[in-house]
Amino acid sequence: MITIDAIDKKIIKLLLKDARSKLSDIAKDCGMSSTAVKNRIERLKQKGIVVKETLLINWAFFGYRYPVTIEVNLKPNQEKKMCELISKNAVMMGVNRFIGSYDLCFFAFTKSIQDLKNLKHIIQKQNGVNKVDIHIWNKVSCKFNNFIIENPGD
Amino acid sequence: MDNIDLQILKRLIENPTEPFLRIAKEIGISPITVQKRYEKMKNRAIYAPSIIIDLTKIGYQGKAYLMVTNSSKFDSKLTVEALDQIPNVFLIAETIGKFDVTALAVFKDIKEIKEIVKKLRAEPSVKRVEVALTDETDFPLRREVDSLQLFEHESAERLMTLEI
Repeated sequence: MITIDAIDKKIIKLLLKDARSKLSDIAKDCGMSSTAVKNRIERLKQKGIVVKETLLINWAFFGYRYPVTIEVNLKPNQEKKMCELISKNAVMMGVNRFIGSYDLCFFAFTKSIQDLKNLKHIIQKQNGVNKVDIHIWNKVSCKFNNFIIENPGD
Repeated sequence: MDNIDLQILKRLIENPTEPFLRIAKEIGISPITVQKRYEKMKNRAIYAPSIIIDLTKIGYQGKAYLMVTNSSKFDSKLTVEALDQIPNVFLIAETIGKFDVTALAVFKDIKEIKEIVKKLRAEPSVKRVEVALTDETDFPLRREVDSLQLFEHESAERLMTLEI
């Protein structure tokens, strides 16, 4: 079992907010030396807590103004094909495999309602698709920063 | 945004923490220019360079997708506020479609998710709650499929084809 302390949690939160934060700034916030912070980040990566860095792009800036979730129910072994299809026709932010009425849930951006409609048709025409639902997101609020990071058994 | 901005952006998609000095060398401009352009792009084209963490390593088993149908007698704002009070919930959106509000929450065990759903159903503004669970523990989102890391690559490719 990996244990992380209050300082690790603080570092994780700061990195979620800005992965390019200067070591010296994180160090100041945590009241420790830059070297100590560097070692902690190394450890978080080595233990697999921090998986990777990622750049969050504001796709609306590039004209992809509609954040949507696309939920699909598929026949077996269609998942990879569906991922490729959607990433070709929209900006894909992420995907999760779900247990329940949907198999995959995609988080994506499209340029217009028309594009979204076309995308839905493309998905529906695809072999192996049982069901597709689309939700357009309006007023999104993220709470990554308040997110409670705890240890197992805390 | 011009071609140099796009080149910087492309490199940052592939490696969000690449030092400005190296980006500068690769593109053939000064590090200060890279820094300035990056600062300008931040909060516009770029939300933030962030990290993906593995929830299992910090005690969570997975994520739940909560799909809420709002009661027609109440404003959906009330549902959003109720969701906002639940510490496990990290993303809330008012949606247009089959459901009125959708949210993502992390959970430690099934019991915890049951509690969340129970709490939500007790809200007068909530008419119905549907839940889908995933045991995938990349937080906030999974960015690869069957070890196929297409997102970063696709994003970079897409940016390069944009007309700005």
